[in-house]
This record gives sequence, C-alpha cells and structure tokens, in this order.
Amino acid sequence: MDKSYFLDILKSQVLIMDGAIGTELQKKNYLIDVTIPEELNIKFPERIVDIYSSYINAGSDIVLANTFGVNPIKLKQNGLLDRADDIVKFGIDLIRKISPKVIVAGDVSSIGEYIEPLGSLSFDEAYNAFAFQTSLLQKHNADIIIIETMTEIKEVKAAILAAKENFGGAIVAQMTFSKDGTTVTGTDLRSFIAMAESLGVDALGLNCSIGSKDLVELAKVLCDNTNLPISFKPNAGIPALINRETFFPETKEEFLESSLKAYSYGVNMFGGCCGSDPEFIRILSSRLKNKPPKIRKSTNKYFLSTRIKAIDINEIKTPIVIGERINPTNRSRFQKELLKGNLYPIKEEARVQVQFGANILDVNVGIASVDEVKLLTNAVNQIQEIVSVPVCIDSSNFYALEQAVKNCAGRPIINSVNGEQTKLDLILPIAKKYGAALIALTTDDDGIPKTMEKRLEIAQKILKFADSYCVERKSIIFDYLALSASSSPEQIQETLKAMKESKIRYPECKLILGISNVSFGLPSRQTINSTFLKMATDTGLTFAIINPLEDWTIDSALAKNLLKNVDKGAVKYMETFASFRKQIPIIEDKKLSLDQQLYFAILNGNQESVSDIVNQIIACEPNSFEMVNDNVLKGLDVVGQRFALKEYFLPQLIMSAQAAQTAFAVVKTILKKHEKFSKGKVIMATVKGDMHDIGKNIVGVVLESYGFDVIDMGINVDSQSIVNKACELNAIAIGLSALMTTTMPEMEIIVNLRNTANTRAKIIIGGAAVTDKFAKEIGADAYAKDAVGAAKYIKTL
Amino acid sequence: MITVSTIKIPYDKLLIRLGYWQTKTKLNKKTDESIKEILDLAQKLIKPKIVTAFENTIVNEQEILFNNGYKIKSASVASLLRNSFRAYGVGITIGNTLEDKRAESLRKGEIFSALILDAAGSVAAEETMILVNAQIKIYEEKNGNKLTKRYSPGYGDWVLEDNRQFLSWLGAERIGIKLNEFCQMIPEKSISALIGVEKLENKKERICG
Repeated sequence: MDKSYFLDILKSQVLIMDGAIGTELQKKNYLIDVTIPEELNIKFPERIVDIYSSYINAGSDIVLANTFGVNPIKLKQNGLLDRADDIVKFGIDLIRKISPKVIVAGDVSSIGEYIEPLGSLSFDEAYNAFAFQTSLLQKHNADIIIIETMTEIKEVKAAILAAKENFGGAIVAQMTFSKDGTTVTGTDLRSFIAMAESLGVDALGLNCSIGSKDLVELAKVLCDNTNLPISFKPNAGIPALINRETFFPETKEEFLESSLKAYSYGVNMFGGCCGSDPEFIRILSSRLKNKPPKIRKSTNKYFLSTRIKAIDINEIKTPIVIGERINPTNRSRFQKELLKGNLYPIKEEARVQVQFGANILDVNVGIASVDEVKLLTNAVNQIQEIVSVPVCIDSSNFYALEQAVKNCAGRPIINSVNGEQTKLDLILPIAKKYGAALIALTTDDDGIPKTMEKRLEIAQKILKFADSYCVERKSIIFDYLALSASSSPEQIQETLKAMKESKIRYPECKLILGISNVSFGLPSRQTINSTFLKMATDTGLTFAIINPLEDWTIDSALAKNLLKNVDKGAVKYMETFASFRKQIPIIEDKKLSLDQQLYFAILNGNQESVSDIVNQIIACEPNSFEMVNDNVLKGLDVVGQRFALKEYFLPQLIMSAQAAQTAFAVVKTILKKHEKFSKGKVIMATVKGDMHDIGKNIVGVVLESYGFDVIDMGINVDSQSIVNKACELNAIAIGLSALMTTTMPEMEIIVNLRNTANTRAKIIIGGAAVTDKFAKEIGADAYAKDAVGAAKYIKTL
Repeated sequence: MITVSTIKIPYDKLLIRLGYWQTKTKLNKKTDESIKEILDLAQKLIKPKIVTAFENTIVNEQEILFNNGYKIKSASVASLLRNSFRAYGVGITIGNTLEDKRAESLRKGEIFSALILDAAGSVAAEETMILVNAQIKIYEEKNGNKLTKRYSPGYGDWVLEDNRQFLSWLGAERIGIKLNEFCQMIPEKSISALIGVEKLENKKERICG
C-alpha cells in the first residue's frame, strides 16, 4: 500500500486495529505444540486464521500479521531461521485470504536482548536483525509496518532505521510505557517522540504494559507534543498471575470509555493489547469505526533528546547553553587520559557542566593517535548514561561522527558541516538518516568570508543542498562565526549583521556561535566573552557554545565599545584590563611527592590516576619497585583499617583494591618479572552445588591488590579439582566460598581431600552462612568474615 | 488484584546493602557518583514480575494441607501458620537482564560495577516482595485479617528441594523463574515465599490469654 494512501485514509477517518494475539493464543491453548507463536503460520495456519478472522469480523481495519518475533536472533534460537521466509509469507497471506480489504501490518517487536551499553548486542547487530525482518515484510507485501512493545529507545532507533531502508510503506512506531510515562529503561514520552519524529516515522503510538485508563493520559501527552497520527493499543489492565491464571482486570466497557477519551484528544488508531479480545474490538468498532479524526491543535516543537529526557528548544530561554569543556584542545592532562581510554574526566566534565547550567554538551575527543571512531562513540554512550542533557557530537572525522550519531540514544546535534562540497555530501546524509540537527558553519573551501553577504551566500548554498538531501531546514543551525576582536574588530559587526539578516531570510533556521573565539589575544577574556554573548543574544542567537563554569553576568561598556569597533585599537579597553591576570587554581596534587600521590590514589580509590603515577615512579626513582610496593600496601592497610571501623564500606574497598591492582599491573608489565613479583598463588572457588560468585570475586580482587596471584576457578567447582589445582600450582592457600547452608558440607570434603594430598595450601572459608565455629569444626585453617579478613590471614602465610 | 508495574530502587537501601553506616561511613563524592551511575543503569535493567497463589489451609504440627491437595511438610512452617486459615504463595523476579549485565562486568573484571549491580538487584527484588506483601496486607486487612511474616523454602526445616513443588503451585515458570539442579532459583534475584493469613481476633486472644 502506498504510504501517502494510508496517510490520506488517516486524515479522513480513524482506523480500528486488532486486539491481543498472544493472550488469545494462550487462552485458546493454541501454543501448546509450537516453539514460538510465529511457527503457527506454517505449522497450524488454521489456528492463526481463527484469531485473524475473529478480529476482522469484529471490525478491525488493520490486522497485525503474526510476525512479532521474526528476527534472525529469535528464530535461530528456536531452530526456525530457515523458515523465516515462509513464516512471514503465510503470516501476511492468511490475512489477505480472509479479507483483501484489511490493511495488513507487518508486526516488528523487540529482539529480546538489549543494545550496548545496557546489553551486549551492538547497534549494527540489532539493525541487521530488523533489516532481515523488514526486508521480508517488504518482499511479501505488508501494507504498513507497526513496530511495537518496545522498551528501549536504541532498539526503536535500529528498528525504524531498518524499516526506513528496507520497506516502502508507512511506518508506525509504538513503545511501552509505565503509568509514570517512562519505559522500563527510563525513556520518557517526549524523548520517544523526538527520536521517532526525527527518524521520519509516519505515525507513533503506545501499546501494552498498562490499562487503558492510565494509558489514555499518556496518549494526551503524545497528542500535545506531536502532529503525527497516533495509535493507542492498551492492555486490558495490568495482568495479575493468581492461582495459575492470568487476570486482566479491565472490562470492555472501561476500555471503550478510555478509547473514546483518547479519540477526543485526537488519537487516530485504536486497538487493544494483552488481555483484550474480539469483544473489545467489536465494541470499539461499534462506536469509532469510520469516524473522522478529531483535529488536534498543531504543535511547534523542536526536540533534542537523550535516552531519558527531551528538551524543546522553543521552550527554553535563549541563549541555550552548549557546554564546551569536553574537548582535549590545549589540555594535556585531558589528552593523556583520553589516550589511555580513560573516560572518567569526560564524565566529570559532563556532570559539572550540567550542574552549572549546560543545556547541551558538546563532545569532542579529537586528538592525534587516538581511535576517534571508537572513543567518540564510547564517550557519547557514557555521557548519555550519566546526565540527561542532549549531546552535540563534534568531530571532523566523518566515520567517528557517523558511528557516534548512530549509537546515540537520543536526538543529537552534529557539529558540523560547512559550505565545502565534500563535507556537504558526507555530512548531510548522516543528518538526514539519523534525524540529527546540524550546525552549519558559513565557511567554504576559501576559508572564512570577510563579509556578511558572502557568509549568507554560503548559508544559502548549504540550504540548497540540505533541501536536495531532504534535511529539514529547521534542523539547520547556522554559525556565522565569531572571530577575534583583537585581530579583526570589524568582523564582529559582520557576524552580528549576518545573524540579523539570516533570521529574516531563513527564519526556520536557528543560530549558534562559539563565543570564546571573540576574546582571543585579549586580557580579561571573560569580560569580552560575556558582553559579546549579550550582544549576540539580543541579535537572535539561539545556542551559545561556552564554558558554563565562567561568569556570564558581565556586561561591560568598555568591552561593548571594543566589540562595536568604537574603541579603535582597543585603547580604552587595554587601559583598564591590560594588567588583568586570571587566577589559576592551585592543584593540590602538585605539592605531593610521587610516593604520596600513589598512597592517596590507593586510599581514595583513584584507579584512573594510578598508572600515570606508577609510570612516573618507574621513570624517576631508583628503587621504584619498593616505592610502589610500600605505598600501595601502606594505602591498603589504611583502607583495611577504615573498612574495619566502617568508615569505608564495600564499594570504597573495591575501588581501592582495583587501584592497587592497576599499580601492580603496571609494575609487572614494565619490569617483566612476573614470578618474582608474586607473593604466592591463591586458589579461589565457590564450592560444588553453589552458583554464587560475587563474594568470591570481591575477595579475589582484594587479594590481587595485595600482590597475590589469584586463580579463580569459578562457581560450582568440583572438590577434587580444587585440591588438584592447589597441588599443581603449589598454591599457598585455597579460598572457598559458599552462600548456602546446603552447600557448606562441600567445604569439609575439600578439607579432607587437602589433608590427604601433597599440598601446603591452607584453607580459608567464608560466605553468608559460614562461621568461625563451622571452620573449626571442619578443620579449615581459617575463617574470614570479609575480604579484608581474608587478606589479613593470607598475608601471614 | 496484586500487580507490579515499576519498582524504584531506593539509593539509601542500596547503600545499606553495601555496608554503609550512616553514622560512621564517610562516602566521598566520587564513590557516591559512581554508585549512582550504576544504580541508574540497574534501574533500566530490572523488569519486576510477580505471581501469586492462595488456598485455605489446615495446619497440623508437622505439615500444612492446602485445599487443592498441595502439602508442605515442615514443623517450622506449621509453627508459623498455626493460627492461619489461609496462605499465600508469592514468587517474584526482576528478570535476567541485570544478571546478564553483572556477569558481563565480572567477565571484564569490572568488579565495582558487578558489586553495585548485584546489590541493586537484591534491593529491587526485596522492594518487589515488599510491594506484593503490602498489597496482600491491604486486601486481607479490609477483610478483617492479618498476615504472618514471610517464610521461604530453605528456612528452618522447610527444605530447599521443596521449592520445586512450591514454585509449581505458584506457576512461577510463567514469570520465568526456574530452579537449577541445586534448587537455586534462576534468575538469581528471585524470591519465593509463603505468607499466612490469620483472623485479626487471634492476636487479641493471645494477648488476653
């Protein structure tokens, strides 16, 4: 079905969708002899025909084909990958045979695994899975695609992108929300709208999870925030599993009442999800079928978003602050950390800038010899998980830019394109494909134009190409470039004039400036920056790329005269500010010697700084090994004491232990004297029958931090294997963990096996139910109530 | 109707689970931020689900007989339910996504993340159980009844192996709870428990008596 035909229908009438398929199949006991519901299409088509027919007879205009989980990952798990084509073909054809008039929707839902960083699936793997499914839906002529029951925004993104690229019909995207208006992974309604709209879906909606009474309130939020058609497919209430029965509490009358309310808000498509049945659809159909849709008030939103939150640019007071501090230019320590792949400084900058009012964060990790493709994506992923402001992805590396924009869990800004033809041809398609807003610098192959006319000419060229690549004009954010007032004072006015004219010529396009360039080479830079920001804001600036930690309340007449080029040669300005010196905060670490720095890094669990310190010690100190060893152990001893006094708790202990581990790892790598460095081998295992691992791993980390070689044999380990390994490696100790009383007797077996074997290994035991008394009873050498206790004992061996 | 849609993992309970003492532990900014960061992640990875069953019961000294024929042989459970006329069985889980992430962290040597995820999962499971318990309590109190404390397979003389039959009674497989060969629940962050229902007067009788 032609996309525009479908959208035309929606303009003239509301459409009735189907109700639940899954719960109906369960209710009728149709799933008893298939591995997944989709197998019915080829194995027992009469059963799925029964469900389809019941909804068509009840009045459904749209029926979802039974293709919900036809993605290669799920199919492979169920041994049905080679039947995918038939499953989709029959799923669609069976509906057509019942009624050629019904709109057949290809149903696409979650893969069942999360995409990184929540899960381990890569974005490309998810995309490929959806591409497989949507290609089949195209091949077998589904009329539209409905993406449904999605809880994770990156998965929605992958599904929409795949559908857009492999399917020609209309695409409806639905997500599943809780009563509070967020998905289980934290995405709110407006973030969903931001993502779905920017990727170019034809309609969006809500399905599953909660009942119609709660879902209708969320539908109202959708109606108020998008101009796209909306679908509404609630559950018949939240299900309860009681006495082996699933109860859906909502009646069809309650369901109808909410649906009519949704209709009054302007919803366009109505159906049901889990727990609804043909009677729900019949009553919906009797009241809503063929009705004209309620005309909604048009909204004018400009969303940028993250995984959990969207901001509407039109709602925020300008200038909208884009924090500029995630940028390694001229920051050697920041660069060093990035080269090591350490993202902690980036996360810290993100948090601080948001605390100081940044609405958006610019993310730039471009330094020579770094894998920017990987690093930029990692940085964007990490930032999006810790702060809820959108990102402005800043790179001159096309590949890095595309990867980061693709993997972004929200709608970002791309920084940037300019009037160079090559860049236009590379960057505009990325902005279009991923629905990003785009900063457009008004420069070209000839550099920065001197006049406002020339800059506006470049802007016009950029818009022409944006039009040809179908990038919406409102997604373009022009930067008319702030140049240094010291070298080109006349240029400041050209910039401001260009902005003013741009607002007249291209009113749909926003304006942005990187502010700090303007003060380059002048004293008291913030005086000029802040004054210039006010002037630019008065001229219509939308976004300002600035350091939010600076003082932006300064409005200086002297600076204004300089910027207006009234103060020729900056004479007056320099009279006042020439002797200005910015105070540089003293960094405490600098005062400390290297050994003290190491000690405090261990004490404070600063794993990120340890490698640097140890490397410096090795480079500078003659007795480097002793210095590292002594200070790490000194730090750990104090950590242990604080842990005993409860001044530190487990997370701090682990952070310090991991810092110590890092220190020893550096020493080992550089000195290449593994064996001599080791303080002895310790076998760690959770006993047979016990699957718990976290306690054992904590002890292992702490022991490694003291320089022991820990051989972790894992969980549910055979007793004889543990003793054999201790003999083989000449271990000094065996650490045993058991969480459950039922598995504790295994510890005694190991003690007995050890006693008859040729090993010096002492046995130390621990775990939730293990006690000192029990240790003595079974003849273990020691009991430790926690990781510090274990280390304390093993250090004595 | 006993349902759960979302569970918020409380930060203060997570800290306590990790060994934090309000009057003693000095939590620094970096640790605080790092824990909150992983808590945010954990919050996205939990999918709480519940299943319940209830039956009227007859309690003897050593066993509890349910109306539907299900039977628990345990003196400690019998003692708990000695005044009960009905019992609820509850199974809850937060799903396996968080545990997968924890396992991934352990594989990568990210013990800090694994530790926080593990603790957050435990708190989430407990919070889910608290919510279910509260819903049952409200319902039963409306009917003039009160609840006993919760009791789980593996406590006292109620052997862990009985969890298999108990979960079967609940239909816990429908929310994805399974038992491994050692009778440990998978997902690990799952809880099964029995709660007795007594007439409110019983307490008064005991106090007076």
